[in-house]
Amino acid sequence: MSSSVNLESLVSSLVKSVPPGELKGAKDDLSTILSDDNRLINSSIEQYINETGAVVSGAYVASKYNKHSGSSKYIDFVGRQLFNVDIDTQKAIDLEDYSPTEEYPSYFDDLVEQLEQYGEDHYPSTYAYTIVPKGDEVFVIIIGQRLNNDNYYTGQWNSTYVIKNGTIKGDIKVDIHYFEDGNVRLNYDESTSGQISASAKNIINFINSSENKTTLKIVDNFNELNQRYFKNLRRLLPVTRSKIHWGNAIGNYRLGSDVVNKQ
Amino acid sequence: MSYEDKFDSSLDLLRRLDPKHISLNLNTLCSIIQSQDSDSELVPDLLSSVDTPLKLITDKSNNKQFLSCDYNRDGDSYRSPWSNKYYPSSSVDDDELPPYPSDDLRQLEIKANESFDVYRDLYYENAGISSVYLWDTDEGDIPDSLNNGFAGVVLFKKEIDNGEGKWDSIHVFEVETAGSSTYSYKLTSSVILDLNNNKDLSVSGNLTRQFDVTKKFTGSNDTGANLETFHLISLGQLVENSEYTIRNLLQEVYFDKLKDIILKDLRRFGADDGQLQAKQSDLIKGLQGL
Repeated sequence: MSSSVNLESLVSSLVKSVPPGELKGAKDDLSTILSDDNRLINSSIEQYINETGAVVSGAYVASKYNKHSGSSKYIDFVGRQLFNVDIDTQKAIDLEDYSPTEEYPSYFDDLVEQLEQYGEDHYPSTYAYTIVPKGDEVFVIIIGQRLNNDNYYTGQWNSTYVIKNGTIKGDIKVDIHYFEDGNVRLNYDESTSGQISASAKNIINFINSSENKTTLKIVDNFNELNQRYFKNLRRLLPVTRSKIHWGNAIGNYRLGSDVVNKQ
Repeated sequence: MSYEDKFDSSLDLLRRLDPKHISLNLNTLCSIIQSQDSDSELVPDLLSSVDTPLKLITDKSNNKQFLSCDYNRDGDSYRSPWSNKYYPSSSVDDDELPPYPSDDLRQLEIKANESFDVYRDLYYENAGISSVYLWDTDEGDIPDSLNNGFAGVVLFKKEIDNGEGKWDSIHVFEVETAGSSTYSYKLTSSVILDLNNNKDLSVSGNLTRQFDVTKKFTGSNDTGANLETFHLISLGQLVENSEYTIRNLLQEVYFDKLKDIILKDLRRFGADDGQLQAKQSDLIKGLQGL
């Protein structure tokens, strides 16, 4: 028994770093490696969806925030329905009507409308959002995703905001996988917070300004990585600005040590 | 599932998982495979086919560091290019000697290590570590490797600023005869590059490219160059060109492509993007000032 528990934790530690949008491919790989032990794989994937969030049918968000406690399903508070996630097709299935017992905030319908517009203005690819009322908290989850396997990349922008007693806190994560003759991964993680008098307009304004600031910060950070770290790691050319004269005389570069040591 | 299916799926999975944790992911995957079949040939095969960041070992005979990889490994010991000795030294009871390159090839290996050490100073700004390992592929009793071909690997490793920048390059090559006095050099180069600001942004991964070139050894025309020097020059130029190409690719992917995906595919700044434009043009100015 202990070995199967151990195997489960090994599998989920791998699944944890699967790029968003590549769950199906990773599932197929694991299924071959584990000779179709799908129970183990599915439980790791379910854990992943709850922690990381996933988009299904290009419009529904599944995450721990809207997990239905009484079943395997997730709650769509906007459409007032329940759904299951089908990993193989990335679709919402088994949809059924549902009347949530949670109390909706007064601005809920306005916020839905504003989030629709916000998506049109700022998210050019797949866009999904949801609003989750939970006691005295309201969660807003926004996911922008692009799966461009033909050009060897997949990427996701995922922000989660929680509004509670006049404060709003956000967590913005960007995760990109680029894989043409290689495997490159970008991870960005940023927190933001502020005071707010809860209305749909104020919430959207806060989200828009946080996400614009984050975008500017990412551009700055790229600049820093490039100038401070990449540039100094390996020069494009030696200080002489020409390629090396290979051969027996290569030691001369050392004799004229000013050439080597000049920075 | 066949061995091939499992092997291919393992490589495919590792190409998806976060490359920042490639060593850990590879070990975890191997543990999973061993839990299914403890004798699986898959484990050693995966360990020798997946590039991971290079490890440093100290050569105790001169206190110089060298790089370890599958190509200078014998059991748990690694051969130093500086002294040609294995560290930690293999057990005395072992009758079988660990592998060494033939004498001529070892002479070339010594010179290649000296040359790529100069290269490292020039390109890696007097920092980092390089190691070159050669091995015989000629199956004669006394291999005539310089004439009949050989194989090898050139390695570089450099880390800066508390791990905010890490570079590992692995160049594996094979030299084969391709007609009279003509040699084909086939190179597979991988660079593992990990950049992060120790706060919110991390870009990490690897790119692999293949290069090949065929050259004719014309002896006296090369102003006194012998065959040994000819191979040294050919390999030096090949590795230098390959790193130049891959470094440009890394620059393009890490800084242009990923940024474009964020700004164009994931989230658009919006109509009022004056601030963004200003930053972008600062960035371009910064790059031009290099």
